[in-house]
Amino acid sequence: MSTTLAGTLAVLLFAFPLAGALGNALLGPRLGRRFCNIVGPGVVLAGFVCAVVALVALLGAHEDARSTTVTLWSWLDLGLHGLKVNVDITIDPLSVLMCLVITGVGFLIHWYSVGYMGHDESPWRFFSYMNLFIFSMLLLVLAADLVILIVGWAMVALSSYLLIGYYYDRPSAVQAARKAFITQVVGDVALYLAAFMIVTNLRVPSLQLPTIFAYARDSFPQGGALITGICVLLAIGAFAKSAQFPLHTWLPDAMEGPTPVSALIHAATMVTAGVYLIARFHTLFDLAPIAQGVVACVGMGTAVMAGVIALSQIDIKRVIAYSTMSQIGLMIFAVGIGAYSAGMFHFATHAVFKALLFMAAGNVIHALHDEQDIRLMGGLGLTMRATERCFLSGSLALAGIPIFAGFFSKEELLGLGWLHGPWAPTLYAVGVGVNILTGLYTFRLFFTVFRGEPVTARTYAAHEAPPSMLMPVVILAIGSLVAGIALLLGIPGVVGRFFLADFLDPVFTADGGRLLSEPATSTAFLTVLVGTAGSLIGSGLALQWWYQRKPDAQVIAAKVPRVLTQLSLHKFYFDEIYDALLVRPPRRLARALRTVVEPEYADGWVEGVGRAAASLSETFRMLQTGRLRDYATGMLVAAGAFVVVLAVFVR
Amino acid sequence: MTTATLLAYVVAGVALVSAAGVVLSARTIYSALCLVGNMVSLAVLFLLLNAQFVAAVQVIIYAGAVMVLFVFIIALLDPGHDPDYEGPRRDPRLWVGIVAVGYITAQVFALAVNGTTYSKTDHVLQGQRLAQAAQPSDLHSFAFDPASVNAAGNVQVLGRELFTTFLLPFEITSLLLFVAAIGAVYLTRRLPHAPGPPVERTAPVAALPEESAPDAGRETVAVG
Amino acid sequence: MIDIQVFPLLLGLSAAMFTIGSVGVLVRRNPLVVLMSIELMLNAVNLAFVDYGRFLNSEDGQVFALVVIVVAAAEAVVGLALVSQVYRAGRELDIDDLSEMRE
Repeated sequence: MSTTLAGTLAVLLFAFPLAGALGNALLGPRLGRRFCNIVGPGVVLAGFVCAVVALVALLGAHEDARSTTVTLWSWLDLGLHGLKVNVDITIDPLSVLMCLVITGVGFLIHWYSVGYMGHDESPWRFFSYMNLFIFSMLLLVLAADLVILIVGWAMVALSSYLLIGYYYDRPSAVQAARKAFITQVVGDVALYLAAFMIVTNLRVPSLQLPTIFAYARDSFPQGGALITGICVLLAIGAFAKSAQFPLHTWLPDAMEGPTPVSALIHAATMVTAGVYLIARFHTLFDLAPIAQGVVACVGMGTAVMAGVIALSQIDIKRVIAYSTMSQIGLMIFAVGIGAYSAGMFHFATHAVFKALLFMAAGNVIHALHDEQDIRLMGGLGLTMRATERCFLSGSLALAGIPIFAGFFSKEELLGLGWLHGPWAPTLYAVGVGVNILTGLYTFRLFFTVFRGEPVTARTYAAHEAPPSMLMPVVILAIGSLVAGIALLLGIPGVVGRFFLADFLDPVFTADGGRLLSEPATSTAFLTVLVGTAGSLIGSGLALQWWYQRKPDAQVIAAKVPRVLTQLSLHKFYFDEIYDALLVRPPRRLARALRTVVEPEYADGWVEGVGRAAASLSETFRMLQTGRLRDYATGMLVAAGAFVVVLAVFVR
Repeated sequence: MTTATLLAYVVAGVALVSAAGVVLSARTIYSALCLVGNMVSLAVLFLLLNAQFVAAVQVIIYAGAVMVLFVFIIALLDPGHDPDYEGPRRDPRLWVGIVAVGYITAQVFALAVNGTTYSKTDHVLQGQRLAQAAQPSDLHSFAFDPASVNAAGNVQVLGRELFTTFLLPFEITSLLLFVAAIGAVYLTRRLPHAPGPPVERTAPVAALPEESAPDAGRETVAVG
Repeated sequence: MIDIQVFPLLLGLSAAMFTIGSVGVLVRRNPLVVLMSIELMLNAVNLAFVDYGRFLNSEDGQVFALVVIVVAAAEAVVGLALVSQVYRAGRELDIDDLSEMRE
């Protein structure tokens, strides 16, 4: 792929969403809703076209020549140590895959927003933020320079903040936005520290990622303390962005934003940026096995924890949010054990079916006039057949039922987990447990919402969503049905077998990285069988407890130890712990300072100084005539005296 | 005497005359125009002194921005009654001033020529001699030899100085500008209870329609 | 190339401009002219800085001149804001009448 083409595509990819963001912000209020409804999704579609062109160009190139790094322009030239910051972009299979998902799924969600936000008062604000997000995300994934990557990293946090707090007249939304932003900043700081450590220890001439990786391979010993520290910091950055333990508490609260936002940012794209970050920095992580272990364990731990919490939540969006957290945990686990392609595969399929689930949930919420409590739903399958079908398709994909998208990506990921990583068999067993949990909470949600008896009269009044809200959902439903088959098994004549892995693997081997050895066929078959059995058991139990109600879910819940149900219900008490540890002590300290230290100790000094100044100025006041001329004369005389002193004494 | 030196003499004369014009003009606008002339001739002198960037800044900031602001304020206020209108020519203070200017200028010129700063015998400045005597590291800023300055270019050398040696003063200066901007906005705001200008002086202004009120209203609606 | 004899000449010019400016500050009563006289004084200082810098082979003089220009701009902005506000308050533009700051 020629540099010219790569540069042009990158500039176009940046230009379209940025133009959309500015256009919606500046012209939207004047030109009205229709303009925003066309421009908002339109620019993302244009971006998608560019991404497809990039994909075609990449496929046309030889396998080893698919990574192109282009310097768009030189941004900072510090000159001192020869450190340069360029606006570098990289077009390689990894970034193109991300771009395709961001713009493709992003376009469908924008399209959906046209209907969902149809009654909103300021669509220009909404679409402007959304386009800004797409721009930031593209900046993040296309960046080939650490500083530019950090800029994109911070900008997605900003746009996420703006969109979570979109309903700024709702205190809970503002609170959630603030929480999300602050948590992200914790991760940002870790990322900055990692960047500083890289710069100071490597003495790199530029912050271009390939340069950094090349230097790192030469100067860091395998498993050294320094590289482990850097990687752990990078991982903390990734955890904050991807809502992993212990920086996960912001994601459920982020559901305060409009549903398309949840679908776009908090399911499909931004929260997976952490996975992307680790995959992009795979060279460094390959050097730090301990950090990889930490990443894998945290990912799997979060997957279990979020799965348990999702079982007892009653807000439809929060259930999906916790399931997102759980699935991202699996992706993080995958990149933690070094199965980068498998992680990205799950990212791609997950983006499709999770966006689908969110948008279908959005249809339900819309139909019930902003009702999100699943206890008040039920029986919606009667009135919203299309949405129900789509939701079912997404649920099957999420639960990992064979032939649906999630099955292929999740089983590939777990199968590799059986052979690799720290405590591989243990983590694999936990992964099967996650499969069971996934099946349980997914179908609990589905059966509670769409089956059973309607609870309120509103269910009967519910209408199927308008076409603009249904079409994207249907497209994604088809996607979640075929994406896994297409990307793994291939479609004869269109894509080959193991298409995605073959496409992505050169990225991870280009600079000397090793691929994980594939399990032998029999082992692979066994792991898939066990994993699928887990998924099916989970789904089957859900069918029994929440659909046939023999025994009823309540009965089962009563049998589970109380500790477990309470933990699940209270989300493992993380909000309470953080409140007690991080919020209350400073507040108490501030109160103590205000009530004790300030009046007792500080005020005396401060007021004393004030009184002294006042009495002094009373004395000097006599010199003040208030006439400018007198002051000027004084100044000139003093200056003259100074010159005389200099002339006499300094020779 | 080279052409450049000759030019310097001529321009210095212009600068002196226009400087006197600033103080002696009876009308404010003439003062402002004289000041513009003074600044432009100073810019020429800066060019002759190899200070191209300062010359450009002098023209752009001073003659361009600051003086336009002055002229704008003069045009806006149009002080019909100038307290100095009868002219300073009859003022005895004028003669005191002329004597003071002449005396101080002569003193400085004499000091400069007669060796306090400038040695006539070997045509060097005392500062240069000091710099040569001292360690180069003590007087880092004298390390710029003209050749390297000419090679790198005036703007580049100045820029490097500003962003390395003088970084802190530079940042403080930016803060000063910021404070000045806030101060100007604060000072010129309309106080809620301040008495308006006297009617007879600003009648034409008061007769103007209210500042585009319908426009502002529409914008509020659109944003909300 | 400029002769070194220009150095004392320009230093003298600088002194003259500075003194003329200070006379203007002391003598004139129109605040606008007073502000312009201050600008004149600042310009005189700039000239001295650049003059010295040129003949000492140093760029520092020019750096200081730049800083002085910024200070002058800030001073002009605030000064003019004050003048316009005084005028708006309905006062004569006579600097000798403005002595309320004493209170």
